[in-house]
Amino acid sequence: MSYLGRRLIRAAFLLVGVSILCFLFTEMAPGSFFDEMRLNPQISPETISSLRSRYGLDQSLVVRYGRWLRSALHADFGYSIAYNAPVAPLLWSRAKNTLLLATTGMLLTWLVSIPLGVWAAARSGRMLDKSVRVASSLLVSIPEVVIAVALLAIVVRWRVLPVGGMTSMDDEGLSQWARLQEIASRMLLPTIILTLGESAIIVRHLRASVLEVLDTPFVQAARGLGIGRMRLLFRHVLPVAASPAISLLGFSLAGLLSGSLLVEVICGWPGLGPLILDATLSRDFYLVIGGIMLSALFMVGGNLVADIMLLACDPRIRTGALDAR
Amino acid sequence: MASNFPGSERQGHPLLHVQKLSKHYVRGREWGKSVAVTAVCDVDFEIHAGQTLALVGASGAGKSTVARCVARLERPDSGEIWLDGTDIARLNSRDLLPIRSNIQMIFQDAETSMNPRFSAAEVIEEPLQIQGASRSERRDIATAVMREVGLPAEWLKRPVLEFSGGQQQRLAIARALSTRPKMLVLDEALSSLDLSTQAQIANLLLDLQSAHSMAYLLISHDLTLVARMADVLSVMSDGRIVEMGATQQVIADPKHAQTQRLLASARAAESKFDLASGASA
Repeated sequence: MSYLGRRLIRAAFLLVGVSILCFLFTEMAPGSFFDEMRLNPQISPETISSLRSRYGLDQSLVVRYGRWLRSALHADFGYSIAYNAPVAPLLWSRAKNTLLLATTGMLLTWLVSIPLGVWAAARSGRMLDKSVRVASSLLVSIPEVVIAVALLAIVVRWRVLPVGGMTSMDDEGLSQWARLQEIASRMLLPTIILTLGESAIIVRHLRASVLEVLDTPFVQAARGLGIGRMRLLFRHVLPVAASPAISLLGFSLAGLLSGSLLVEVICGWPGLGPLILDATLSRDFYLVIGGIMLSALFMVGGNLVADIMLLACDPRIRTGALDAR
Repeated sequence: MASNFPGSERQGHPLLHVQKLSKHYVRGREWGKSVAVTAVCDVDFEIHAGQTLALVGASGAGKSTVARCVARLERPDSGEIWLDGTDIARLNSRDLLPIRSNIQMIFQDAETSMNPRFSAAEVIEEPLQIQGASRSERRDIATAVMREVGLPAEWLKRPVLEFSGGQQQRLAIARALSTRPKMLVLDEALSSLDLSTQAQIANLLLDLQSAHSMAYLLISHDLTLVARMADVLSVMSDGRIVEMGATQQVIADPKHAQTQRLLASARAAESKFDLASGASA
């Protein structure tokens, strides 16, 4: 079976596993959506139990999982109690914003990390390399929340950028171009926060793997042939050094998504983050599970993209040399 | 010894003339002061066209550092390296570029000395591309050198990783030959090959040498191989050349203690080999 086929089957199994665990853990969590209603003397216990049976919450876990699975196959992913609507459209309208933020963050991350990592390795031990190392270890060791809150505070105090939401309240009369500008300026802060945290990790990895490749005999041989520095770095070293960095891409995509949920909550970006947070706080069972499944899907998808990229640029995987090991 | 090189009875100027070559490495810092290690100290030798000089010695004696300085992978701290009338010891990388085509190095491990992502054609043609050869010129030369090293020209499209160890070493030689060098530096180039492949590659190198009258600087620890290939044998110890002379003469009558030790250990290994093959016969 082909490499890609095996990866796809593995991904499907993984998603089923995640959904089962999801059901188990959400079941184990204390409380339910109707707990607050119970405290209200005006709502009779009969109403609550009829509501529970309407949403199927009185059934056993196995039956509920089966029903959820059927609804997942119809692309509904259950029914949100709080919004009184199927989960999938709810998630999708928010997921678009999250994806916009995460993909922009990822592109920016790679645009920054690749030149910086290669450059730092090529001038290892010099001033630039040292400052890159110090900056990246600082950024890696400071939690993203702290960076996010600190940047938010700076931006708000100095009024450099508009913060919160995607557009301003009165965006009705704006032209398409002005709207785009508005969205871009509000996206800037969350994107920068995401990029800072992620690129610190990738720069460090890339620097290390470029350094390793720079030390190999074929690079020495290439130097002996008189190959110039730029050609050496980008034609010889980077393609070989990229393999570990590309595997990292899958993780970084997943990391960006989970990171963006947090950043969204802090910056008020209308993505999945605030939605899932609210759903969790109000115990909106199926919406929580839908959100988790979606982020698992992103993670699996990100790894799949990385696998395909590796397949395209590492000949050893194509020939099966790595599987034989 | 410096003025009277073995082999200097030959006519004309030597192709390579190394004088007072020294190289230190910095091995970390202690209390803010860098600690230098002397790898090579005041090494002199010369090689004529069509001649092979072997550098032997225990590991850490500085053989490879000499090779790397001569091929200008390293910049020597002091001394002169005259190649075909130019002192290349202090040239910067731009001025070195035209000279690089005259001197090529072949490494111990052929597989790792070539970019694993490249095809045979890319490996052979890259030095030519750097030197500014046209596409058709490059293709012609690549086909020619592939034949010369005994590889079928149809294999040019194959990735490097699909060649066997011996074939990869042939490919590395083809790459070195592509710029028609006057001198090859063979840094343990035959050590990683099995015995029969080693013999084939040694024959190939000898044939190429007589066809193009190239000079070889052979770095090796294998005295049997050196006895077969080298005209001049020099023995290094602790960064200095301690003995140098015509190969047969040095082997027959070693003067320096280091040479005697090397020969004794080579003979011990050989007699062990004889015993082993005698027992299995």
